[in-house]
Amino acid sequence: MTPYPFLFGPASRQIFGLFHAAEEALPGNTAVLICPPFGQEGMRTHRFFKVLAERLARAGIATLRFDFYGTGDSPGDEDDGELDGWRRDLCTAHEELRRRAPGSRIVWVGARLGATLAVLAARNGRCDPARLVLWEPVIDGRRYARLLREQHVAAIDTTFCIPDLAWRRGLSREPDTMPEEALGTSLSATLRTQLATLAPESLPLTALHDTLVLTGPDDEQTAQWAAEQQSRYMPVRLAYFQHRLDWTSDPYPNSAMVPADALNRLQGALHE
Amino acid sequence: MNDMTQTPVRFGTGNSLVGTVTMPAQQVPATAACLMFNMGANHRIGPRRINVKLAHVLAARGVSSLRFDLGGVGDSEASDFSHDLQTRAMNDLQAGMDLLENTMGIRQFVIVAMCSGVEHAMAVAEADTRVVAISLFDGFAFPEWRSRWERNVRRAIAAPAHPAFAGKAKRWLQRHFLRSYSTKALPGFFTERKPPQVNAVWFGAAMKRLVERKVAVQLLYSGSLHVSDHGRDQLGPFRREPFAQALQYEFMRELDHTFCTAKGQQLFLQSVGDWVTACATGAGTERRAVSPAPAVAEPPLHGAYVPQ
Repeated sequence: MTPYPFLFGPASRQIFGLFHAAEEALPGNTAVLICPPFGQEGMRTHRFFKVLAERLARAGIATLRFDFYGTGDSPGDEDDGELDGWRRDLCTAHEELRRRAPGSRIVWVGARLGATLAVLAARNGRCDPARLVLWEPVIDGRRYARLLREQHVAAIDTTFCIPDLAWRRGLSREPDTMPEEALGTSLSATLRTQLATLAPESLPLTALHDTLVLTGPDDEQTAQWAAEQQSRYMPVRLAYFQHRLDWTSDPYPNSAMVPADALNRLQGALHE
Repeated sequence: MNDMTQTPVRFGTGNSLVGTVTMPAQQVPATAACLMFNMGANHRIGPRRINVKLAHVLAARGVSSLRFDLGGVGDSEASDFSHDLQTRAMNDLQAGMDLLENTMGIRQFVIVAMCSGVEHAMAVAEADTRVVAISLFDGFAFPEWRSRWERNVRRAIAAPAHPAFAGKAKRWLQRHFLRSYSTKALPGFFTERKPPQVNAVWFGAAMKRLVERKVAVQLLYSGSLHVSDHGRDQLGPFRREPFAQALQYEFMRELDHTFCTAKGQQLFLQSVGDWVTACATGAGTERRAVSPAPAVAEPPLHGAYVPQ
């Protein structure tokens, strides 16, 4: 079935969405809200989540994909981007999906910063997902910003005929500085401040929904965060998951855009 | 964003194509609109969201635009396999023009194309007289031995001080000697692969015809290709052709092929935004022959083409 593109949300903060209606939807079915990653990671995974949404729709699961305000195909400038507004966008999208798939049990599938926003929005109480699937959530804002800077410098090195050494020098001179831009995306002053304070302890899960965390086997920090949530008797489960998707790269032949292993794992996660 | 309206659309055969129309809200739209589409596998927002940013710039200046995914890329469905890639892309671009003509009454179009999209833009501009201007970024390039030699020398000089060159050398070796390491697009996926000589002949003939038809052409080249550019080096032998003098040519050293930096994006948005606006607002029959002033003034070569 052909997905339907539209804008939704308040007039002052419209958001772009694509609704994949379920084929043969049944009352009480599951519906999925895709919470995309930030910046280049979001662009890189556009095709992946399109294919995932198509698969889910064929399996009878209505799916809404959307772009946070000031990102992707949504109106707004990147300078408007910050976590509180995006958290509200997520709840707006949740209500939109509830309206389009009434009676469904809504699961949020978030990746990277989209997964972090899912945690923040779900504990806010304004929207009520039945379950969160968090794929490599960003739980340490400073570490994430550092990664974006490193990838930015690597991209400069790769893309220019003769790279500008100033980017490398800046990184080695002040490695912990919050970047104003990374991989073609501007980080607003507010977002930089929010990322600087984003830490595992600022992301407590609630008992209002189940949570599945998918992360790489070498990601000790996320595993520890999940363990701490379990120690608080939160209904969270951690599963290790390795894949071939390079979050920040440009699409090119040696970097899979829609790796089958990741696709199967995400689809399977909805039924666990 | 009250100075513009954005409307997601489905259009084309079987409504298979997905796009977004951006219109100025506070003023009467220009007589020509801008079309933007994919660069490689990036979806309609363009690499690093550059198409969205350009749409905002244009709307603020009174120019409407449609950014959309070609069939089989981004969110658009591949609905027609009976034609080759070029024909399908042309059909999709014409479907975009039909949409804006039918819904907004706009009959003249400026196409902004990048990389693999350049060939599609040139082909549709040749076939459809509604296209009055094309902006081509990092498309066909024909650097001759002098500019290639200068690039290699500059790279060799820079290499010892630059840690990036170890990685660049490794990737070069992998590309050329490892069978398993392919950086080539699948045949016919983004653009049909043709021998360089065939491309050159086609480019020269197509450009000549477009300029004779008074289609304004902007050629932009990034710092990913070369370090420096003296006298339209990327045009190679074509820079001596009469038609080349009617083109706006700009080498943008601080912009890379994938728009990675904010500064590079600003340079692109300034240059293309100015040029598209000038073309779109001056798209009447009398004004089509007037190309915007070139960014770098160059003395006319002997026998330069003069727009009639």
